[in-house]
Amino acid sequence: MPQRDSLQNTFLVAFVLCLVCSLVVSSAAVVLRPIKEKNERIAFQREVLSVAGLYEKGKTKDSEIPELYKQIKTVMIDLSTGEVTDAVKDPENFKLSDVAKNEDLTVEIPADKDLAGIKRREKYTKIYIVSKPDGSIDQLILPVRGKGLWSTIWGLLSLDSDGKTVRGLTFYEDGETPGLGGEINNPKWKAKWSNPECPKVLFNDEGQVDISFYKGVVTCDMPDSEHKFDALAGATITTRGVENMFKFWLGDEGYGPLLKKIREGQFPVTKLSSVSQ
Amino acid sequence: MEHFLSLFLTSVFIENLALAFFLGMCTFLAISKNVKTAMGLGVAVVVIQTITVPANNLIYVYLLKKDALGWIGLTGVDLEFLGLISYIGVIAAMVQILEMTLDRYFPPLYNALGIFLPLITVNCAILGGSLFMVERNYNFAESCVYGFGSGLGWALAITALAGVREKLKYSDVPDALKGLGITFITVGLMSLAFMAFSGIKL
Amino acid sequence: MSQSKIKDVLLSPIFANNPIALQVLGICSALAVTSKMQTTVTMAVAVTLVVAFSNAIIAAIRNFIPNSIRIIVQMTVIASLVIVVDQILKAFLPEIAKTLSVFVGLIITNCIVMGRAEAFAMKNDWWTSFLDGIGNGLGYSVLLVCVGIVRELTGAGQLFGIQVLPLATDGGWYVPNGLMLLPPSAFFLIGTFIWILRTFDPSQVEKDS
Repeated sequence: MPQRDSLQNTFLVAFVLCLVCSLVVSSAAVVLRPIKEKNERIAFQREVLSVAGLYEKGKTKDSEIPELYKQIKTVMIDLSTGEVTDAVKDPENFKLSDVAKNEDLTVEIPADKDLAGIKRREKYTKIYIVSKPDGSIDQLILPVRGKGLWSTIWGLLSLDSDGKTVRGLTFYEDGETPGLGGEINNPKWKAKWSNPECPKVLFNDEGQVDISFYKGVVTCDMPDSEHKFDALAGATITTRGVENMFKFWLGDEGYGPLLKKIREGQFPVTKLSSVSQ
Repeated sequence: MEHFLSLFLTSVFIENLALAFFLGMCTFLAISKNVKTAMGLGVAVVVIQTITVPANNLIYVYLLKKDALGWIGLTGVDLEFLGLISYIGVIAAMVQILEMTLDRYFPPLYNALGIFLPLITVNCAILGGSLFMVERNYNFAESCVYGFGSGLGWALAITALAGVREKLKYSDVPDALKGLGITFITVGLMSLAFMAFSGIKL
Repeated sequence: MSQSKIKDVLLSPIFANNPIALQVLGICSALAVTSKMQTTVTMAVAVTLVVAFSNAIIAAIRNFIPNSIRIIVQMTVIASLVIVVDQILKAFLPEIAKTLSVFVGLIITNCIVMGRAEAFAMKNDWWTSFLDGIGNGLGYSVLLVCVGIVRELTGAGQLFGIQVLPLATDGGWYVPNGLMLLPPSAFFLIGTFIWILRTFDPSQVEKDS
């Protein structure tokens, strides 16, 4: 064995160490990758189901998720026109978080229109559709995102087939302060968005986005209550972030063109049955 | 240009690494007994941060990111899990190189900063800067600005704390709170003040 | 190794020689993740495991490590362990891993891990070092969990996400103190913790310099 501090030994130790560490790290990554991907997929499917009202926390088991998820159809949309598109090669593996980082698949949002603070938006996106037994649309689930206080909030918004009434809302990734801004994921707060007795409508009769946040509790008998939402106490910035997120995604740069078509009854519903998962 | 200015101010004040994200706290508390040493450490952090964040950005974009190896014909390779070890390697190497360069060509600067350089390898603010750069998906130009800005914000915070602590020497602190205890509380108050910046959009 | 020494190595870091309170080590991550118990405990377990195993590995190979590349060798061992922990968290606890975001990675630069590797593991056999790692990890965990309990309980009236104190907004009596969830409160709590610790053990009071 050569001297401990000799040049030879230094290189030998460095080499052996690198080899061992790289083996350990890569094998951990390779072994765990399928589990990781499976869990990620199930976690996302769970969010989609819960925003559609098909998943009940504590009641639905994880093993039932893949079966339940079969009710959900997906369709690729060209955001700028609101038309169904087949320009995306591999819609099965479309992952929004990857696409949003890819310069080729996104377009820059003009600074004055970038309410959500996300700088770029995807050209094509995947939306999720829950259909009624007769094949017509029941709910449309749209991925949304926007800047909160600390980081980007990623969420899903479910709309009724009229294209303006909220059916559900969830945020699946956020970095907001737990207990304050983090309350956007409080089930009680989210339930207020989709209370069937007191529906929330995102557009006014002229087809303009009409939402505002109200400090305090919005009750059903208030005038205009269908356009008013409870602001979160102690989380002004997060609330503003959510408001701007909706204004952006419902506007012309976001799902505006698509939702306009739906409100006018032009969405190609018949195509739905032919769309795969 | 406006965009970079806003990113710069955000990283200095609003998202201050030390006071909003608590990064680099160990050194932050240990080396803040007087303003002069605190500033020395601050400068060293700015220099290292400005070099390592863009360097790690290049590594991430051209080596680790999914499909990043496309330029040598390898597609579908996702080495993102190697991120941590690569960034810390780059940081350790950069610190070492900077130390040797300074020693060889700028002895006075080396004498001033020398003792702080090894400390910086284990400063969470440096690694944190690189990790935030990856998480927020900054491009090369943005990461240069962010590296400089976040380093400067950290330097500013430690200098300010050292200033407070120098004055604190003259106050009558309960025995058990002396030193570390009161420093924690001071930092808490400073961080509370920095909270006022949070959410400001530029 | 005698029974009493094992006890000493394992227990002294928890109170008498707590790494956060007395050696000012490893606070970066301690503060940012303590607003919820779930993340606090995950972080505490992760750090304890990393520090114990890195100590054991480094102690086991300490006689082969050339002095000139000592630091980088320790760093590589620690970074590899952290990557493994990070991958495991992402695979089995994806939601918690998301909340911890970059702070798992920052275990690499947690001064406790580096500090124990350099100060203890380079001089002792692997088993003692392993125990020292567990001890220091527990010392870190105790403080982290204390801060976490206070913050989550007073800030949201919850523990591990379960409502303990009924909130006024839901018809209960407790009005949560939002400040406790914000970062500065962690500093105040650790300051207070040190204060209490040193009131009971005056030998640790710092002398005027």
